[in-house]
Amino acid sequence: MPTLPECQAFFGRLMQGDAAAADDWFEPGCDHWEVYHRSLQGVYAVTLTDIYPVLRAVLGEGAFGRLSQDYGRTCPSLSGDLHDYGGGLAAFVAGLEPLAVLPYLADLARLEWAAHRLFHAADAQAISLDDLAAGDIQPAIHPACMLLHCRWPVQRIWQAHQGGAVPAHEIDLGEGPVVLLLSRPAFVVCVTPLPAPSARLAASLLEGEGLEQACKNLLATDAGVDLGAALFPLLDAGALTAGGACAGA
Amino acid sequence: MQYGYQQGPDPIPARAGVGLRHVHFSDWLAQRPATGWLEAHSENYFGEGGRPLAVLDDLRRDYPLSLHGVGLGLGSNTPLDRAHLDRLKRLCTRYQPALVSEHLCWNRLPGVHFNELLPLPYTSESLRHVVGRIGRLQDHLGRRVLIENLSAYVQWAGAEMPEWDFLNEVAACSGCGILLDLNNIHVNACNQGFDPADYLAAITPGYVGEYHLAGYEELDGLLLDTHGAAVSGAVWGLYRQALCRIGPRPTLIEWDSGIPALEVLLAEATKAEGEVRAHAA
Repeated sequence: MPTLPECQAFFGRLMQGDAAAADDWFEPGCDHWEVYHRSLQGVYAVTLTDIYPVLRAVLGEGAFGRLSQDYGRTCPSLSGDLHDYGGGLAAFVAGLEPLAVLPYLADLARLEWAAHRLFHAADAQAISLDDLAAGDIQPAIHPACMLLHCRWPVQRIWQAHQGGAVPAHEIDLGEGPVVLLLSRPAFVVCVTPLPAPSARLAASLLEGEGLEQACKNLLATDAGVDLGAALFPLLDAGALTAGGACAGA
Repeated sequence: MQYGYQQGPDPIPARAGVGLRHVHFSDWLAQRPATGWLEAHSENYFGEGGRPLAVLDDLRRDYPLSLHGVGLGLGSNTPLDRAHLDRLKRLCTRYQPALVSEHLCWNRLPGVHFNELLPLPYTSESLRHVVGRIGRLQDHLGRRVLIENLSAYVQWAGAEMPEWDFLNEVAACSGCGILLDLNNIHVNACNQGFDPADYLAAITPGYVGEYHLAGYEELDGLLLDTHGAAVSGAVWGLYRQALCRIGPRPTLIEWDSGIPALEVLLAEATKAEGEVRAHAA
C-alpha cells in the first residue's frame, strides 16, 4: 500500500493532466478520478464567471470558457477559499497573443478583480461634505477603496454592463489613460474616473496620510491647485471615512 | 480538552435547517421563514465586510447557525493553512455558531490547491494524520467540530478498513463528532456496491451530531453528488432508518447547483420535519 503522501502526489499528477496508469492505485470499478478533474474545471469556470462577468460578456461564452480552462492549467489555485482564485487573470490575458487585438482586456480584468476584492473589503461609514464641514473628525481613506491606473478607459465598458446609459458598442476607448477610483461606501462598488489632482490626493490618502498631509503633498506638487475641487470627487464617491483619534466622535 | 458537540448561546434543535445561499439573501431578509436553523459555508464569509457579512449578521439574530467549511482539506499532507484557520476562528468569534463542521478529505499539495473534497485512503496512517489535524483544528477554535463523510468517486486500493470504521475511529480518537451525510452514503453505496444499512448499523450513534440531506444526479450509470436535485426517495428511506437507528439530529437540506426558489428548499425542510414527527409518534 502506498503511503498517504504517495497517494496524494499521484492524484495530483492525475488532476494536472499527467495521467499515469491508475489501475494499481484504485479498487476496480471505483477509479472515476476524471469526475474530479471535470468537476474542478467546472468549479473554476463558475468562479471566474462570477468574478469577471463583463470580460465574459465581451469575449463571449465560448472564448471565455477556453480562457478559464487555459488559466486553470497555467495558474493553479493557491487557496482553499475560492474567493482568492482568479487574481492573475489580467496578467494572463495580457500575455495571450490571440487577445492582443483587444488590448484593453487586461485593464478590464484588473478592474473586475479589484471590484471583487472590494466587495468583500472592510466596512466603514463614508463621510459627506457636511460631516467634513462640521469638523471634529480626522478624515482618512475608506477601507473599501482603491486606485487603478489604466491605459484604457475601461470604466466605460464596465458601466455599460452595469446598466449604464451608453451602449457597449458606442463606447470610444480613444481618450487615453485614466486613473479610476473604486469605492464601496455601502454594498455596491462604484467606479469613478478621477482628474489628476484628485488622483494624487487619493494616492496620498491610500499611502496612509491624513487629509491635511495629503493636501500639503498635493500643494507641494501644484501650488495653484483647487483643493476643494480635488477633494470633491473623493467625497462624492464615498471614499473618505472618519478615521484617526476622533473616529466615532 | 473535551467540548460538547454544540456550543454558543443558541443550540440547534433536532429540527430541519436550510443552507444559506447568496441567491436567497433578499428572500431570507424579507420573509424570515420559520425554519429551525441555518447553515452557512464558512469560506463565503471570510471577507472583512460587505453584504454577505451584513446579511449573516442580520439573520444570526433570528436563527441558530452552523458553519460548514468546504476548503480546509484537513487530510492534506501539507501544513494546515494558518490563515484559513484564523479566518475560521474570527468567524466563530463573530457569529457564535452552535455547530462547526468540516469534511473528511484532502485538497492540497505543495503549491496547488484542488478545490474539491478528495477522499483519503482508509489506512491507519491516514487515521493518525487526520486525527492529529482535527485535534489542532479543535484546539485552535477552542471547540469540538463535526466531520462529514464524502461522496467518493475513487476508492484507494489497499484500504485497511471500511469508511464507517474509519469515521468511528476518527471520532473516537480526536473527540470530534460526525456529520452524517445520508445522500453521500447512498451515492457511495450505489457506486461502490455496499449496503447502506451496514453503514448506518456500524456508526456509533453517540458520535452523530448532524445529518445532511441532498439530491444526486446520474451520469453514465454513476451517481454524482451534485446537490442539484430534490432529496431522492431512497435517501428519505435512509433518513427514516437513521432516525430509528441513531435518533433525531439537526438535519440540513443542501442545494448548491441549479438552486431553486427558497420555497422549494423550505418544502424539503418541512418534509424532513414530518419524518421526525412521524418517527416520534
